[in-house]
Amino acid sequence: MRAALILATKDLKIELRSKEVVSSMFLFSLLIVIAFRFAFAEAVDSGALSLEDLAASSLWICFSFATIVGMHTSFAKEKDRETLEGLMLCPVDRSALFLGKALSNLVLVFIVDLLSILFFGLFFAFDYDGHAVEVVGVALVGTVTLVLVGTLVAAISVNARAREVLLPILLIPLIAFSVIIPCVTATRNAIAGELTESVRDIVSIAGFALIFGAVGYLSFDYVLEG
Amino acid sequence: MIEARGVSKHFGRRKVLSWLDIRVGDGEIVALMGPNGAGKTTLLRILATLLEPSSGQVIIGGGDAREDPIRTRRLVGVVGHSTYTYDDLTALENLRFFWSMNSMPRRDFQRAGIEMLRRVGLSHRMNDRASVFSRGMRQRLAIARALIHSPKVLLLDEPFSSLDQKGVDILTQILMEERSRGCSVLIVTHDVQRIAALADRADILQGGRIARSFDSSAIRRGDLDAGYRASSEAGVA
Repeated sequence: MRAALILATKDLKIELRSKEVVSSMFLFSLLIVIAFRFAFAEAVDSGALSLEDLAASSLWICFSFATIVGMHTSFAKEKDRETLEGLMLCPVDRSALFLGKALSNLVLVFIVDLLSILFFGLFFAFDYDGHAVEVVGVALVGTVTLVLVGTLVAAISVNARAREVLLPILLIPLIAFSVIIPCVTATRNAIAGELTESVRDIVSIAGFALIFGAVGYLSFDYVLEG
Repeated sequence: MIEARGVSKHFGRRKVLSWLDIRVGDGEIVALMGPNGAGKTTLLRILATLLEPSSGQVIIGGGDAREDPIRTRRLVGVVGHSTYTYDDLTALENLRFFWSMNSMPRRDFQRAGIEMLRRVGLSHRMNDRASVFSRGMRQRLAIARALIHSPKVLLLDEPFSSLDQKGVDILTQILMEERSRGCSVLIVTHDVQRIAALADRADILQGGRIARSFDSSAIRRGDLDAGYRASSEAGVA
């Protein structure tokens, strides 16, 4: 666990200096919120579209994009800058590398989640009906799952020639039905103050996180060697 | 101590190493030479646990490298074609990262890190990011990174490349110090002149195995130069 924390700290320190990943994730999210603001303003005002539904769907589009962008650079940067072998030469269990990368990815993606929630609130003058904390909680559970799946898939695809294409092709089918749709439902219920109706969704998302976390943790040796 | 026994490695149908045996004792510097594509880097990667041999056994520091790769990595310092350092971290931060990843005690780092940078002639630039370093300075930082955890085994792939004369002198001095510390050093190089003053033995890798060996007296007599030329020409042919 110590090695994972050291690796995550190193990644976050580098990101804090370069701001390469967070800035692109942040701009993606901002663009989506602004586009939705102008596209659906009239529909929301006329009552044809509920702000709760729009918030839930647009926020998860932001979170998913942020995850894909973040995961893509996670291992690709180490590979392109020829530092991945340096990590593999460190006398630590490969699973610590998985945990370290997942941890740094989680921090970065969750920062973008929080900014997206804030931007949506600002652009739509929406206070999440007083349930912003629950929305953040659902975002955290969903993001943990996205990041665990994404980190594993990013490591699998890092050695592929067309990894930019391979990552979303592998990741999106994995997360679409198991994470994104239940998270959209849970977020909508959280805004409506009916989060208890989504307990099964949240449990299934957490279960998915547990499964992929365990698979990544146990198989990372083979994934990196591959 | 480094020992490879009957190591073979093939990629698909292409056989790179074939029943190779090599041994580097404690406090010994061995140069590994051979024509391009002979498998020198492949052998180094196998010894460093970055590649699995197709067959054979690798012993590092008395233990089987495949059975306990984490222990092996703790014993080994590697300077490869890449520096494995991070451009956005300073020289000292780079060393601190690899120090910590080698489970070295945190409280001892400041002294050890500065001392290591002094040894490679970078102590005056310890707070500069690696991104502003020249290629030669990055190579010196890579040498410091490989040595920061006081490894018992050093595996160096063309370590003199991109070093200026001062850098070459520094590395030569470091290698002699490491030898007297009892470290086993295996250097892949094409530089006969530089290695002549340093190596206890030179092995020429050809056809996937050690084709010829030259002891220190043969190296100094100039036999290595002629032998290496012959193997290179055979490699080209």
